[in-house]
Amino acid sequence: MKRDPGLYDYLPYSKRPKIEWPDGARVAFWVAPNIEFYELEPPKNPSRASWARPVPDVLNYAYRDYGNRAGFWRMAEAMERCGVRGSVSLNVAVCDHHPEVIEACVKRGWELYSHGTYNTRYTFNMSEEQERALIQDSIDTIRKHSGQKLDGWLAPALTYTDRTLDLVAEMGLTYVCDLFHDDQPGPVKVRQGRLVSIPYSLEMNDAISLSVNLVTPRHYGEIIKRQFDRLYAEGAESGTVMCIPLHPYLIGQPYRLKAFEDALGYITGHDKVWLATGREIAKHFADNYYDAFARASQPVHDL
Amino acid sequence: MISDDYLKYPKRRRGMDHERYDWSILPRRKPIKWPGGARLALWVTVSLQWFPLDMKGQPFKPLGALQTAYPDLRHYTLRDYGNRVGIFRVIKALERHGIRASAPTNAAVAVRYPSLLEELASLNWEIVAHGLDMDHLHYEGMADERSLVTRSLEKLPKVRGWLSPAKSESKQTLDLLAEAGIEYVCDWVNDDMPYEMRAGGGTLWAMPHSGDIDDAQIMIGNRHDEDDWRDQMIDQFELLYDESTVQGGRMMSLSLHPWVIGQPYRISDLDLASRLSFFLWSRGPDDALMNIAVQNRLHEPAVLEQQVRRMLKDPRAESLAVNFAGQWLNLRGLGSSGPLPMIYPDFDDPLRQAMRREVELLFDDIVRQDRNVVDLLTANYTFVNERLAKHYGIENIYGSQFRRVLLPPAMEDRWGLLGKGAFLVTTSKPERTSPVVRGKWIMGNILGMSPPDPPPNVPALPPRAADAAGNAHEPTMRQKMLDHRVRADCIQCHSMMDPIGFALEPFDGIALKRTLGDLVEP
Repeated sequence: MKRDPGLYDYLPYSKRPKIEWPDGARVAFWVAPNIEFYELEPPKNPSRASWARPVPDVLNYAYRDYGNRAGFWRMAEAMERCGVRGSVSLNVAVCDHHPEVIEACVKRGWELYSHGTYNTRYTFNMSEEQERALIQDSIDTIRKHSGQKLDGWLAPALTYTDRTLDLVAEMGLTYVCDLFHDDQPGPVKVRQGRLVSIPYSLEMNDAISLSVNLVTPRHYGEIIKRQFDRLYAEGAESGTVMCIPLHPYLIGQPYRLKAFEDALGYITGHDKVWLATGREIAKHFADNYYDAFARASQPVHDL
Repeated sequence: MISDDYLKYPKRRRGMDHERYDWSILPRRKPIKWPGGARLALWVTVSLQWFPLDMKGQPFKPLGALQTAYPDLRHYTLRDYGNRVGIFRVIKALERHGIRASAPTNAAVAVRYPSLLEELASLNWEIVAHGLDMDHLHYEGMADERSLVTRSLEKLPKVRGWLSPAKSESKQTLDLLAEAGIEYVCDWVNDDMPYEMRAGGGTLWAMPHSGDIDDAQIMIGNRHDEDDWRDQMIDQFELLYDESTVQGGRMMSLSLHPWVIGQPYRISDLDLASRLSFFLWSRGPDDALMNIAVQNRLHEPAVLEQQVRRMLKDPRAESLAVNFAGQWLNLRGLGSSGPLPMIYPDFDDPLRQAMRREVELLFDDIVRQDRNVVDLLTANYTFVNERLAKHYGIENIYGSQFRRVLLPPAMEDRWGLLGKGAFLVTTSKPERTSPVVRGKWIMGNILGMSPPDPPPNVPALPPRAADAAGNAHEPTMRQKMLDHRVRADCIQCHSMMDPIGFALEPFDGIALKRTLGDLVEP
């Protein structure tokens, strides 16, 4: 096992090339709904149990299912009212189970990127060949159901092997959301290809805020605004990225939606905010700043 | 390493990965109509639970389980408090609001406290089976589940519904329940409305019994305080209530546990004093109000007036503007009304929010300054931020903060509520103004004389027609309306509504002043 993932060098926030977003925007803002399918009786992976309770865990299964039946539709309308497109972190099996959900995303001009096949199939312990098959499945399924080229990756349930990001880059994807080390995009050191890490934020993630940190829904709206205010202020010096990762089964609950929509409207009510998708942010960075950031990075030596 | 079978997906297909129920999209279903035209069915459940002292917690400990080494007198008694004391506070609080509840009841409670069951029967509450006790969960691989179902149900004759302890089921729980004659279950939290499940060769209804906003989950599980819990209930209600306007009847589940909500400091959220404080503050009562309520003096007019005046001075009374005015002036409707972007490209969400905030601030100001209520219609000042100021054509206002501005005589038509975006937008159609809707709203909400709904079978407004020369002219709104209300049963009300509405036609569907050309007769 490695002591350092070896995926990036040190690049202090205070000593970086200046990022300029299109039209002088200070913040590249993107919203990433995680549209997921959790299996009722998934196969076992030796490194992680699928459910907190014995299978069938009907409470937790049904809670996730709420997202596709009810929560997604409410969330999507709230985003539409605020003029925000989604970049969907997609368990691609949803294309087969619930094609109506995918149609609703594509119709709104949302980007689809991959979050694995099911959120109950983990990458832990996969061989290189198996992991390639997993990535290829996503490439093929997303193209078949939306016509889109797959550009982004967020590992299913945040499970990895040591080669996950190498394979993702080799197979033609352009960005990953799995690194939480920064508020700006950055180059990822992979075996071959150019891979951009873009900020995805676990802190703004509704699953972390609401289900782990147990903040109240109204306070969740508050911290979104505070996060934005600070990144907007800092973005006057060099462009920042703000992401709100969502889960329809959480944010689409009636008692949570309004505070979130208020916060979203607060953000979109500002000028100099680039309402982007993951793919657009990664491309702008790769085209203009990738090399300069790589050059400015400082190699790290272990003890 | 893992087997290649790990990348095979035998149930990757359209719909669900099991056969219990069908895939169904909530907002695409046929709208439900509740009796009496109700928009929301409120379903209160009060769970009566018993956690035995020798609790094993198998295969997992449910929320509320005993925690210390045996004997955990502390948690045992704290839970049993609900059955001895808490439930009676809950009963009283619900009675004051005229609410009957369903009580999911452990069989152990029925056996141990039969007088409690008699009391609930006398109140006409429904009893729902809730398993044997909180240490007998249903789970896959358990021994003899069938006899556990039988033992639980024989103590609770004639129940129709079932809530599994901790919402835990085995693969066959639903089949066993259906075979035992149960008609609905409350375990699955995947929907906001009832839906049908397959079980035991027939069907069972899945009822949307809330999981993550019940009092125990919010206050014990998430450790939010009782004010936060109530805020979440209010937010839940408001969204479902709003949604019912476009999607048909909705259901709200209010799930209570007397061992949680029945504590003296929490029950106030369901009490008479809190009804008053909800109205003005949207918060629970403070000590002063609670003391007077306890002394039973709140019904004395002088005391009541004194309390209302005191509460109105509190900054928290702003929620009167947000909630009361939101309902009375239909500011909440501003959330669901949608001017069409094709017709009104200038209308966006920040503007919608600013319009709502403007009227909240105006209303709040008039209440706090104790101004004449007529000022609501005539006030020559308002509150705007940059976005709204630009919309109204007021210069030199910058930033997102709202501030008070005087409206000069040249802007007299913006004075008072009827010149405000909130009113003008909510009383318009997505694609055009509606003098009828505006007139009807003013009659109903300002003049206090609601006209009746239109008779059935009224034809739509006439479409454009070609004249003798073959030129098609869109008739003016006024001409269309004149053609429209020749019927005797229409004209009675329209002769009052329409002139009121026409007086406001200089404002378009997003409250912008129109150019004259829009209004000229052909």
